Amino acid sequence: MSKYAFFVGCTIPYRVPFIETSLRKTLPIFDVELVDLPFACCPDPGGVQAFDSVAWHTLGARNLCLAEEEGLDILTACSGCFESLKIINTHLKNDPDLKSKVNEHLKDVDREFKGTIKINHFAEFLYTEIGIDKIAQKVTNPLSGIKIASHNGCHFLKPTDIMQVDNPELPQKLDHLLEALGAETVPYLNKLACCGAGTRTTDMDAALKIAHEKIVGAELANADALVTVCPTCYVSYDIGQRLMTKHFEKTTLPVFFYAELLGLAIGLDFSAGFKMHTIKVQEVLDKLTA
Amino acid sequence: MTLTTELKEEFKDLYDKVKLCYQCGTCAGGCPVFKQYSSFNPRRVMEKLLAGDISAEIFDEQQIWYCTGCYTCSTRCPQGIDICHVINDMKNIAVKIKNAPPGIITEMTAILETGITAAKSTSALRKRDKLELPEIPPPDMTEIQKLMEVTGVIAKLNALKEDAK
Ligand code: SF4
Ligand code: SF4
Repeated sequence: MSKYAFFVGCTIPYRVPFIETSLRKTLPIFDVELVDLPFACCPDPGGVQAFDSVAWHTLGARNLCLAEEEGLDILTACSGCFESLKIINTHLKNDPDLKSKVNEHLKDVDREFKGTIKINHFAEFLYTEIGIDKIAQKVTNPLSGIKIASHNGCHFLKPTDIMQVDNPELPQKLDHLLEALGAETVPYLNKLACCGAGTRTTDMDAALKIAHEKIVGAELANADALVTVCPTCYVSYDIGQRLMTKHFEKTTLPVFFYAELLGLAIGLDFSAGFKMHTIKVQEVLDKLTA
Repeated sequence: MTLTTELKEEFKDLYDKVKLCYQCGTCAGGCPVFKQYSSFNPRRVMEKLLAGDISAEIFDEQQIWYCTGCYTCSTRCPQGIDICHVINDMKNIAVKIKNAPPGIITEMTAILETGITAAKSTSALRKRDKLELPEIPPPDMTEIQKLMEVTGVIAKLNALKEDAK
């Protein structure tokens, strides 16, 4: 078993906890042990960074310190947390002035950023550390017969120079991860489009219009489902589709988080969590067992 | 609008970051917000910075706060300008001149009070129970509040709340 500090974030545990279930149940199967630490908000790469950049770095550094003190690398499944923690970790490692400014503040809470750990996103981790072959070997119930539109989202990939996960203009790793489960991935219009969540706090209607473009693209490609690797993108599209009816005709495209499909393919029962989705997923499940 | 010397310095930094912009519009072409809400146009924001237009209008809630922070523009700018980051710097200035949307105040207040942004609502806790999920260890709030105090967040938050009255 390799141990990681599990950075669960704010959105997963209190808005979409069934995503947390999918992670806590699948990762141990790949010999990953998740350790919970008293982390606070990552903090939010949109709101807190926009409010005050130094405060954002400082609050984020406190989270990094908790993992450093335990000697553990961080594993997160939220692309927003991934972005914040990875940018802050990289900036502080490379900018001595910023590091000393932040450490000056951290002294007040008896902590010090040292720069000894690595930040992982679970999807990138599965691809790089576990590997497609190992994942495919564990599959007992291949997801054959369904077409999937994969949504990478923004912060899993960008800013590219820091995230270094995949090509932001032609991402392929997530498709490979889905294909390893036996699913078919489809090219679709607006595949690179943002979910719009960053605009939610300013203007919900504009955010919904941005998210709607993705649903249109996936439906045009006859996708059976949309798959995300970020809980915030998940919320934009799953709960979002219900809110979109204010502006657009009703759509019912099922949305999954990657780890849910991984669990299904390796034979886990996530039925309690599937009932908590806003858009019903039964049709997809039926297709899989047909 | 009058700017303090400190803010003028920050403006100078912003100008230096965008001075290579040749107004091609690639940033606007790929911007998900501009596509749906044409009043916000990142090329125009760059134009104003280049022109040294420091009127309050460019810090307006109807402008920069619409940027969703997706980095599409920064990925594509042929001049290598990190537009997304520049706009974030502008939001930092906007907070200083008390021009921030109410959603930001709510979010910062939530972090100050609970350390996280999502509410631990009864329905969320019920779902966690049903899914047999463990309790998440809560952060030490004296630490969070201390850091928010020493980095000046609390003072800025109070100023914004005072202004909103
Ligand atoms: S893409 Fe770059 S050079 Fe072109 S208008 Fe935008 S900031 Fe200027
Ligand atoms: S980062 Fe902001 S300005 Fe740039 S493309 Fe995204 S929403 Fe538009």
